Amino acid sequence: MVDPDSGTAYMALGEDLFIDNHPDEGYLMVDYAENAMISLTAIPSCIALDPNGTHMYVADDEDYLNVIDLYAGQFIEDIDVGDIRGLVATEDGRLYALDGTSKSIRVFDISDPTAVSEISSVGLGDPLALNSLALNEARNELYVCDLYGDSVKIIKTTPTISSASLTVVASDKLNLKAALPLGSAMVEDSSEIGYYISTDSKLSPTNLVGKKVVVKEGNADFPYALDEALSGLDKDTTYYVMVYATSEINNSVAYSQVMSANLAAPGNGGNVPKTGDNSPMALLFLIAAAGSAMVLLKRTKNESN
Amino acid sequence: MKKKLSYLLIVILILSMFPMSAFAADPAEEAVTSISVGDVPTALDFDNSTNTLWVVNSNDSSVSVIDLSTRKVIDTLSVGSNPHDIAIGSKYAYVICKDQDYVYVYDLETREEAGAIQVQRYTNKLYLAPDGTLYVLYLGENAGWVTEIDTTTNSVSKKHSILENSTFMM
Repeated sequence: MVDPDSGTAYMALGEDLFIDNHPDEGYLMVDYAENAMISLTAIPSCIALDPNGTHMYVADDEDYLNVIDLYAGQFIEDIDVGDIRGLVATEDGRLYALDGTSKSIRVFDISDPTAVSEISSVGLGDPLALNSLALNEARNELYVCDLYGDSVKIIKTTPTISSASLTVVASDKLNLKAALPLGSAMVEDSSEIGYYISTDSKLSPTNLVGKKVVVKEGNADFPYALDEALSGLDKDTTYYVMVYATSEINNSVAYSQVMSANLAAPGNGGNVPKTGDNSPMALLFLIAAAGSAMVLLKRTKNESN
Repeated sequence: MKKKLSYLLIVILILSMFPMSAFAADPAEEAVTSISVGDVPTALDFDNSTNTLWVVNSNDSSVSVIDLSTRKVIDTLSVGSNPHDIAIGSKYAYVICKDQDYVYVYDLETREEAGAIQVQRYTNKLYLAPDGTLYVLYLGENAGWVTEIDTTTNSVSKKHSILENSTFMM
C-alpha cells in the first residue's frame, strides 16, 4: 500500500507494522528505521489507509482493528471486530471490512478516528471462506471472493428497490407496493424507507415536490416489503408517486421510478411501466387471447352446425 | 390439430399472464449477486474503462473476466501456475503467480497477454500506486524484495532488498 502524497509505503509484516518514510527518495523502501516502526501485539492481516494519509487501520489475527495515528506514530484505539479479511477506507469517512466470521461486510464510520463506530453490516449468506475486498465507487459496488464457493460476490452499496407498483383500488385510494431485497445495503439505524406523492408530474429524484411520507425508520428486516394504502385522495386526480430508501453506508438515496395513477379509472395501474411489467408479454397475451377466441368460436360454430 | 392448437394457445395465454420477472430476476436489481468463476478465487480487481471485474483463480491457473453490466463471465484467461494476486492499471492487468518468476501483463481491451516481466519467484503481493508504479512484493522467512515496475514501459525500474530475518504472514 502506498500513500501517493507522501510516497510512504505500508506493509503488514510479522509482528511488526513497518512504515517506510522516505518520500525524498521517491520510492518504496521498507526499512528498520526506528522512527518508522510501530510494534503490534498480533500479526496484521490487512491494512487500509485513509485517503488523507493521516490514519491507518490494521486488522490483526487476534480479531482487533487497530487505529493508528501516522503523524503521532501511535495507536489511538483498538476495537474487537472479528476475523477481518479485507479493508477499504473511503474519502467520505467509511471503512468497509470483510468479516470472515460473520460472513458479512461491516461498515465503520471513521470520520472521527478517535471514535470509530460500526454503522452497518451487509450479510453475504453462508460462504465457506471469503477473501479480498475491492470497492468500486464509480459503480457503488463491492467485490468479494468466495474461495471455496468458486464465485465472486457483487454487493451494491446503495439501497436497492427491486420493484415498485401503484394500483388504483378505489376512487380515493391507491395501493403502493415495493420490495427491498436481502442485503440491500440498508443500515440497522438511520435507514429510512418511504415515498413522495404529488399531483405534479414533474416529481423526480431531482425535483422532490409534493408530500414526503416516511414509512419505515430505523431497524428494518430484509427483504422488506412496502405495502401501503394511500387513502383520502382527491377523485378525478392524477397522482405521481416515487418510493425512496436511504442508506447510511454511503449517505446515498435510491429512488424507484415515478409511477402515476388517475383516480378516475379504478382498477387501472400506473401509466409508467412498472418493474415486472413486460410489453412483449402483454402483446403475447393479446395474440394468444385472440387466437383462443377464434378457435373456440369456430369450434362452437362447427358444433352448432 | 385444431384441438392441439387451442391447447397451445391456452398454455401461451397462461404463461403470458406471468411477468418475465417471475422467471428471471434482473441481475442489476439484485443487492448481492453471486457469479461463478474458476477454482478457488483469491484476488480481484476491476477496470471501469472496460467495465470489467478480473478474478484470479489460484487452483486452476486462470483469470475470469466478468462484464459488470451483464454480471457474466465473458472471458477466461490461462495464466501461470498458482496465480495469487492481480492489479489493474490504466491499460494493463498485472498477475503474479507464486510458482513463476514473472509478472504477467494483459491488455485490458483485447485481454491478450501483452508480455511478462521477470521478477523473483514466490512473490506475495502487488501494489499499484496511483502514480502508475507497480510494486511487487516478495517476503520470505529470512529476506524480502520489493521490485518496482514502471507501468508506462512495463519494465523493472528498481529492486530493493528489505527486512532480513523477518517473518511474513498476510
